[in-house]
Amino acid sequence: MISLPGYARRGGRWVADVPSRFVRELTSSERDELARLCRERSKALGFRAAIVNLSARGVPIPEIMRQLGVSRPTVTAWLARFDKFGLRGLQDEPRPGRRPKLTPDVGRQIALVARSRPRDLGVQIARWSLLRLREYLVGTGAVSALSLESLRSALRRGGLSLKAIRTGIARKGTTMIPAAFEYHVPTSIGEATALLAKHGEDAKVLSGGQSLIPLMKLRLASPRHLIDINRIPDLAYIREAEGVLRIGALTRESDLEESDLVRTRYPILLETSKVIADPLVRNLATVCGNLAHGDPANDHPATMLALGAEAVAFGQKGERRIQAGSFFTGPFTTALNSGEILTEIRIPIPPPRSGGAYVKLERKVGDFATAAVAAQVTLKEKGVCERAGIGLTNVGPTPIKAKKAEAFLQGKRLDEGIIKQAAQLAAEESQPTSDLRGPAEYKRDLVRVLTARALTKAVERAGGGR
Amino acid sequence: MLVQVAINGEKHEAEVEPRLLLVHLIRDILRLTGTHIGCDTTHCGACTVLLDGRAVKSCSVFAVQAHGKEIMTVEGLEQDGKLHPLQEGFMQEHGLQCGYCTPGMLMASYAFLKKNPQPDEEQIRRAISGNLCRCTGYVNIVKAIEYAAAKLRQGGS
Ligand SMILES: Cc1cc2nc3c(=O)[nH]c(=O)nc-3n(C[C@H](O)[C@H](O)[C@H](O)COP(=O)(O)OP(=O)(O)OC[C@H]3O[C@@H](n4cnc5c(N)ncnc54)[C@H](O)[C@@H]3O)c2cc1C
Ligand code: FES
Ligand code: FES
Repeated sequence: MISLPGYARRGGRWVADVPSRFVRELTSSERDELARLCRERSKALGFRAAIVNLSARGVPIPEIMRQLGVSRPTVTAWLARFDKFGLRGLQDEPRPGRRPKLTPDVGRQIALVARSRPRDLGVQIARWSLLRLREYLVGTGAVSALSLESLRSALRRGGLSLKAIRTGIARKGTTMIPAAFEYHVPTSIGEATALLAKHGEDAKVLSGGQSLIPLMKLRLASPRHLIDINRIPDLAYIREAEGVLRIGALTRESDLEESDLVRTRYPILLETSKVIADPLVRNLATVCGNLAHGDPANDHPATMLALGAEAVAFGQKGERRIQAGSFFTGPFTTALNSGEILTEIRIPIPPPRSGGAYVKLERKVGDFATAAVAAQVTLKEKGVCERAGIGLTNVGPTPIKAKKAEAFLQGKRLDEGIIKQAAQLAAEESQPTSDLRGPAEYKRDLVRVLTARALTKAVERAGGGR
Repeated sequence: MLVQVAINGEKHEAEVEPRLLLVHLIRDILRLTGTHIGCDTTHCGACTVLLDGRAVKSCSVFAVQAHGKEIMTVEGLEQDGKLHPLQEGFMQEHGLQCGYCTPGMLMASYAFLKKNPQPDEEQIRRAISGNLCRCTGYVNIVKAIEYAAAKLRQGGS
């Protein structure tokens, strides 16, 4: 080839040899292919071809930048790729410089596995999913590591796709509202208490999640470990045995509402469940969670105080029983220690001539109580009171057992006048504070009115003075 | 963590962080955007889906809790191109205005009518008390549910 000092041959033409970088000399087939690709400049490939084409025709980099509106690094990068890999360098996949990850052999093996039934290979699922397929391939050493994307494209190349099961990949930027935590799913109480013992104050039990998850979403709670007890079997029950009504840890509010036993024999429990939150929340919220949360605004505590219930706490050291009367120790604090799970509520089956009621005033349906009162009475003959239990909701730092009012009622005939006096005592025992739901004085008077109503209803249900 | 769920009869799976809320799995990852998000405080019910047949607020359940379970979303109501009587009822009785609350209303009332095919107005109002609507004033929503209940009783799908 002749040489002309000060000139260089570019694209079949002699051009001035300015100190600029140009793409290498093209072969004729490359020139044809580039010309073809250039016609589709809207596509990334056509655009890259145009860069190379212009350079091959001797257009200096600044001019290419101007004509195509691209930056210098873009131009030099594609020119360099073309110099090294030719037309293949302009393709997206496989990236130049990187060798294809999967050899054809491995690709064939993947296709073979994907076409087999998982069960024939000892994997107990009906159909492959990408994740399970990857797990199997990596597990058997067929590949050392594999991204889901390359697995997917390997399958595609083999004419396969996993359509029956869609696989979602959490993208960067997926919304994450609560703080991160480690999730544990024990399948026995023993396993759960061991986890609690191990993680101590850093761990929380997750039952219905209808108090805990809202708190976590607001980051008012950010436990580092969540012990989800929902998969422990045999914890959802409502049954009477040996003089006690037993309610298991995974019994939901909606289970109480639907239970014939509760509907016919425990109207006080039914009335309590029905006014908690809304049906959607009640489908998950548990009775035990309602107590364990220790929220003075929750409704079940007052009822359990009135019924004289007992909590069963299970920890590493075994089981202990806690009377409702000493269970609520402070705002959001209970007698449970951090290693214990509340596994059951035990309510003494009320003797004949007993009755109870729960009366709640709320601003709107589903709201926490402005105030609420639970009353449970057992009568002797002639309407004389043998036992009375009264619990108050959301009128103090804890649920309140109105002990003075209870003691006052004992041995008295529960007529209107006596009920009125007991209601006054209960009001005096309440410790409400002023808030959005009303001033303290209003709430105190509300306790008086609601106590009278609850007692009246309870006496009625117990068979009145008859 | 691996989560496998069946949504409207179709199996899905995803690798997620435990803190991912079920509603975000459904919307952001599996791209079923019929289920809405209306609040931060578990109050509005726009996110209502059926989890193993129970209507729950999917913004207040972690995706990992749904592992191995059946989910039904509003996309599962229509069958073979035919609207569900509830959807038809909401259309006929003008049970929606902006439509934001509608998927939640539909799912809550779907679960409710399964349990109580012959409800009175009071029961319907209680059943949707976890679903807030800022447009309609609820009157037409109640009518829509009554419409669907009647149609379902006549055997309309
Ligand atoms: C919109 C809305 C309205 C509501 N309105 C009311 C209402 O009017 N009245 C009312 O009473 N409640 C109301 N709640 C609260 C609801 O009833 C809660 O579900 C309940 O207080 C907690 O029960 P849970 O099973 O959901 O517990 P979770 O939220 O799972 O747990 C609550 C707390 O108790 C602990 N815990 C739970 N179970 C156990 C256990 N077995 N052993 C040891 N610790 C445990 C947890 O670690 C956590 O700290 C409302 C909730 C919402 C979202
Ligand atoms: S988004 Fe409002 S309750 Fe779920
Ligand atoms: S139609 Fe607009 S919120 Fe219900």
